[in-house]
Amino acid sequence: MRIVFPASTNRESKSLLSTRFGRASYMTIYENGVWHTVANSALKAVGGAGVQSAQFVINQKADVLIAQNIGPKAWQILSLGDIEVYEGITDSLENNLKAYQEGMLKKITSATNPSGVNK
Amino acid sequence: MRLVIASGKGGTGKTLVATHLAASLIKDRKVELVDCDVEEPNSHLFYDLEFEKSEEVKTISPKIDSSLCTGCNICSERCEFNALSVVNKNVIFFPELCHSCGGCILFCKAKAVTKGEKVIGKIEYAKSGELPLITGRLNIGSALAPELIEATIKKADKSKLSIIDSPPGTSCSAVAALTNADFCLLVTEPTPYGLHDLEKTVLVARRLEVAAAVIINKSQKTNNMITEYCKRENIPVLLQIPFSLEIAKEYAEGRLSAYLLSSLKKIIDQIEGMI
Repeated sequence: MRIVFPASTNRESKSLLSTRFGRASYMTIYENGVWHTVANSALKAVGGAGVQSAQFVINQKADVLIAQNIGPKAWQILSLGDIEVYEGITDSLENNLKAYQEGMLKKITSATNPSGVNK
Repeated sequence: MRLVIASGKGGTGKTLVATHLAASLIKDRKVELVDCDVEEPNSHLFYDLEFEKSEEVKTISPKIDSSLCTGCNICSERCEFNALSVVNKNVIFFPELCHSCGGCILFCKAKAVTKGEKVIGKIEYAKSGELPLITGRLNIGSALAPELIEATIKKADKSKLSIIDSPPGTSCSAVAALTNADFCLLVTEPTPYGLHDLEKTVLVARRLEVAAAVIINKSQKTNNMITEYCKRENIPVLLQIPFSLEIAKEYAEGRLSAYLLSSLKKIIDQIEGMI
């Protein structure tokens, strides 16, 4: 099970879940107890940061994405790629992982907000 | 000859200068006005016009056939604007992000992405008496102002003096209007913002190797921050348009000012002397 989290910092599991998806500062990947963080290259995108970040999740062959906001373009890509998307909580990545494992997170079934806008 | 009216800061009087200059010269020479402020062209507001025709402007746009996609993902990787995404051998295209560079078409070996086209706006032709007006009008939602500006400028008659009303700023759109100009008139105002953007526009004009002179609009004092800057940078100030309620009133009513027509008419000889 490979999970991607958009993250505010590079402090691995201790980082806060980013409120942004497309322009989150970092992307953190969790698999089999191992955390791994990379800088989000979409942060510098002229446009289509959500598209680029969604493509990153696809290319990572992730099973699950836990995020707070997903725009319509990113959603189109993620849903076609059969990524399960869950609405994260305003907390650390490890607490989000825990909430997910306990079945406390709500599954997202459509874009949460219009293009370029956070809730 | 192509004379571009540019500014940096918006609302400094580009259209004011362009519309008056064109009207003031029509009796003496072959002149045309080309409105390249394609996101909101408004030169037409100041003339009684006879509409002649309009034509659509098209650019290339990728045509997708996902049944041929091998999932190599190169189109998505190559796109600077993230307009393409590849998921399970499905190409998803977001037309509003596409800048029509054609890179995806060039790199797709499987021919899943081929050359198509899309309409980005139109060029309108009209006449006010003897004065031709060519207007570029970008479709709402299109991001391809530079392409439309280039297409509009191409329609200008090289045997005439073409006065180009350009978009504000110093980004791609303004660069497209300024590229290959014979001369540019930089319209500014004596405010810190006007000066700041003038400095940027001067840098662009110099990089494009276009000679420039300045017109100061809304001027209240003969010596001001703009004249000081122009003196330092050795840029001629051709005219100072006074900060006048009367000019503003006439302009707001869509009328041309007799005062401006006569003062702008005089600067063309100075401009030709500098080319």
